Amino acid sequence: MKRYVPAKKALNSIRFIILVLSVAVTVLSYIFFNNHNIIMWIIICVCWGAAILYGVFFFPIYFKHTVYNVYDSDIRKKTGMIFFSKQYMKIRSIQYISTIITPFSKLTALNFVIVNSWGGRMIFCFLTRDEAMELSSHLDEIASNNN
Amino acid sequence: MLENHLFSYLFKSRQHPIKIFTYTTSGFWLLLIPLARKLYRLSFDVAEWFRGDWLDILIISLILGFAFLRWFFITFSIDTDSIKTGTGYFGLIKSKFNYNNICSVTCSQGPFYRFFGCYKVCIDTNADFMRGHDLTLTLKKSDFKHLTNILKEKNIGKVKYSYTPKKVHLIIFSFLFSSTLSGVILLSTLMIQVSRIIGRQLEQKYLTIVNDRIQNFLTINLPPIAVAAASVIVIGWLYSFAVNLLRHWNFTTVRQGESIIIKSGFITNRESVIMRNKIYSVDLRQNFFMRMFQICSVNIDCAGYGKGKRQIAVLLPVTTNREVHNSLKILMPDHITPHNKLKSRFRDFIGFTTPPFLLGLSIPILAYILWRIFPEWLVIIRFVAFIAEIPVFWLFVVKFASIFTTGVGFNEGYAVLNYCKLYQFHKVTIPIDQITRIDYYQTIIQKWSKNCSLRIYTYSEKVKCHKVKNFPLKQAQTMLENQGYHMEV
Repeated sequence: MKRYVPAKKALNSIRFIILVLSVAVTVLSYIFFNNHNIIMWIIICVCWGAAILYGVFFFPIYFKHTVYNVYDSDIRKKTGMIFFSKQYMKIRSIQYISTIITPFSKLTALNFVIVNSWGGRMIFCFLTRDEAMELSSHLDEIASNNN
Repeated sequence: MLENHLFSYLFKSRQHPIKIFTYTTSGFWLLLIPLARKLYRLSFDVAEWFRGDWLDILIISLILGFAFLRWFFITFSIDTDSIKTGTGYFGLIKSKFNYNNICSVTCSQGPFYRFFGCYKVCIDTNADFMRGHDLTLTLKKSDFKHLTNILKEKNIGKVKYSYTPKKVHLIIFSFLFSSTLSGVILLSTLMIQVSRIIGRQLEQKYLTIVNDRIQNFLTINLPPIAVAAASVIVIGWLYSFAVNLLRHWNFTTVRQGESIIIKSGFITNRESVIMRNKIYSVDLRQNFFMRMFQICSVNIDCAGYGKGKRQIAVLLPVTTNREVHNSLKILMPDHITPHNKLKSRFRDFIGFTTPPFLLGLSIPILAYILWRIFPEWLVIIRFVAFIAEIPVFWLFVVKFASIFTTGVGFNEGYAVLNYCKLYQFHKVTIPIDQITRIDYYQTIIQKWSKNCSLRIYTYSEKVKCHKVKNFPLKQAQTMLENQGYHMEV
């Protein structure tokens, strides 16, 4: 059995992206709604409220609770942010694997492995680049033997 | 030398450059018309043209540039054991499709693609990728040849068995399987697109002409809207018929080794390579008239085949009941069709005919209510109610006939499900291990008459539910228990 968890680096990257987006929304609302103070403040408050909620609470909970276990016969995933779920997939049902390696992912850990199987798919999010490559090549090998 | 390198870097492992134009927006060509007209009016004075229309030119350049980038980042490589692709924005999604897992490969070439020497290739596995194909590529002739050579390599030297239906059969098939609804949808889409370009005059003119002409022919006084609607339905059906006929013209099915190759098309040529071990069910379809004349159409369930818009996953378009088993033996030698072990009984005809009977009864009641609310619309309400009763009456006849055909059977690892869905009779043969779930359920009437219906769920690319109605409960339970489906909780 091999156990994978989302990388901590990815959490910081997401926080950074949220911060940049929040600043951008604040600046844009200041430029475009300067004459409508109420609208401007509503947008800024909602944006920063959501940013804090996700950056401080939801994403850390998601990262803490997400675990991927790859066994010889199946893959199991436990995840959730507000509602938690467990997913189970038979190894022999895997059809093909898609891998998303984003630029600078060694620093950001924004890497994803999509396991496409009979009638469904399972996504492994925020793995380190090495883990994503290792997992995708391992599952690729399994998929090539599946009929 | 450098040019060669650049050319090779740009075009190797990428789709045909014509794909760039299909990545632009659908109305892209409309933007070019006023610009070209302006350039012509300026006697091709490009500098003046740039000064005057720089914004439009900039937008078009951006659209083209974006399309170019999309094309540039989508890459693929055809290896001996798999196809590797880089898709999505910036080609970030890297996928590997092993030939073992591919269920079907469908290639098509319309006149436009034929002119540029390229092919549209759709590749499917059993993975359920939303509604489209798992992978769609527009390939150059060399890449296409390379891919088809690999796919057909395993079958070289093996005996070919082919089946080519008669042209008359193809006409009958197109006649029977043309859908008025899809024709009307196609026609209305066409009219909407045309009216977007040249306004609503054409639509109004069409309705007026049709109305006038038909009023001249018919002596009865029909409401104009009904005449227009009827004409749209007839033309829609004819359109659907023509599309179906052109799509299935030159239809040929060939079995060679482990593959079935299906070719068809008159204007757009299509070729599907289907892996025989990935065909999950065979469905013999008939409507009431086909049943009367003892002909049927054979459809198959294989991921990707018949998946496109208004396509039918047909293996044998039309064949006689006598020939169908021989043809299937040739094309699918491993295929077994068990006989019905459990049949519905005539005395349970109420279970079959009640839904269409109630539907037929509800139409005059609804028409009466509508007439009370809108008394001035009496003529049109009466006309629509009469027209609506025809398909319901026909449904009643079909459902009554289905009493004699409905049944289930299990034998030698295969199950046969005979049932009627709306106006169509199905005889589905499926390997037992594809059945994932069986439910039996009872309505109040069935509980009283100790009957039940079965819902049989099968699994391939998607979960499918086959409803087989009205069997004696005890017999159904015994038969399922004999097959290892223990229903007692």
